[in-house]
Amino acid sequence: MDPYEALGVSRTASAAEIKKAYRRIVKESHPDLNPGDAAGEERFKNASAAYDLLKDPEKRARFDRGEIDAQGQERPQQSYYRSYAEAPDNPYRQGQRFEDFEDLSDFFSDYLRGGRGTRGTGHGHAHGMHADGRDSRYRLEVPFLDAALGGTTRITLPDGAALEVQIPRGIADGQTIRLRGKGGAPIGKGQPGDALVTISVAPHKIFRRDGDDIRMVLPITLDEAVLGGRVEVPTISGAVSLSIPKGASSGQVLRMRGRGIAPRGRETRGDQLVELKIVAPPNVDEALQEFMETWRKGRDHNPRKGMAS
Amino acid sequence: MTEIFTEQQVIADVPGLDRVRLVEFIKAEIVMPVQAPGQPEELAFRQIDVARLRLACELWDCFDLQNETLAMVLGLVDQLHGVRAELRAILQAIETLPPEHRRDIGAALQQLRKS
Repeated sequence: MDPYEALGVSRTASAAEIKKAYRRIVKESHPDLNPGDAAGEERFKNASAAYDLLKDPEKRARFDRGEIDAQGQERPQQSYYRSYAEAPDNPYRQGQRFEDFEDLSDFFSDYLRGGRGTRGTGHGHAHGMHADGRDSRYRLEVPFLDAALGGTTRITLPDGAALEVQIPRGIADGQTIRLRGKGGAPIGKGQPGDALVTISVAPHKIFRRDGDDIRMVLPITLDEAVLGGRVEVPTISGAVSLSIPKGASSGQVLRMRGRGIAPRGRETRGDQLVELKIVAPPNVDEALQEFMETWRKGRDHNPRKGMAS
Repeated sequence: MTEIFTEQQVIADVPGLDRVRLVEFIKAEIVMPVQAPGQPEELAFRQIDVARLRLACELWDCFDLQNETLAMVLGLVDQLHGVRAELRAILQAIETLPPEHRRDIGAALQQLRKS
């Protein structure tokens, strides 16, 4: 697409005119500012590619002389903020409130209050010459097991002081811990603000969280799969013996009851779901090869039966 | 979600971002890096932060916004997306209702728009 056309300016437009035209298109069509407008997004993409080219006087001159084409300027696939902005664990919209909706009905006010982590009433309201301190926000990464089982850790404040943070067991990615009175200093007789710490749970190399359940993939050997038997399985609270049924297959999921997460305030734990994965020995030795060749003679078991070819 | 970017990676990734601007953005709470316990001096960023910094730099360059104004604009952007997420959730919930209930809700909405 012709970059001048994309911005809606003439070929003789000044740099200021080009910037002004681009600004207008950003305002009207930037997908992060105008979500849900597909045509606008297309317009914005063309305009930003065009602006990248035309804002640089040298590139613009080369384009005008025909030395480079507009295609060479296409931007790589951009990941817009919009793709993350609506996520419930977006740490930048944890403070969103719907308190003015509360006269609607109990049902909706419960829904709008729930899950957002907005407890208590807002700080920062001025009372005469007094004002509450503002809340300060932090983000903290916690190890997977600390999030699952609870623990303590520290965060460093901008002034260098450290603050102890209790991690309640079962905390999920994106949840916020409120430390009362650990935020900004008040003015006059106001209340100090709170420190709001939004938690990011670090990934674990074995475990993955699925609600209150823990999921993992367990490699087993060929003979364990055929013969069954007991194997040691890591869980979030130490190794536990698990019985592999005779004739197990890859992809089969075994449930270890009560080996998952019990979020704070609940006594029963979720489960650990173990997906089996048969791993062949690194070298197929002669004995195994001979045995398999003998074994498969006269057998017609075909797990792919019924698959369209 | 799990990908982590260091300060250097973020500066290399986001057009128009340099160290000075990044520090200013953090101070203005335009972006909040993640702290990892044990190494508080190491700043870590996630994909959402990179996307947010990209938007912040675009707005800064295009509209010459001051940090405070930029923080306010991004706050409004967050509110907009938050409201859209809630609206989407409510519409999805309505979608699961029996047709006659959906019709009632539709009629009630029409009525509210008229008044």
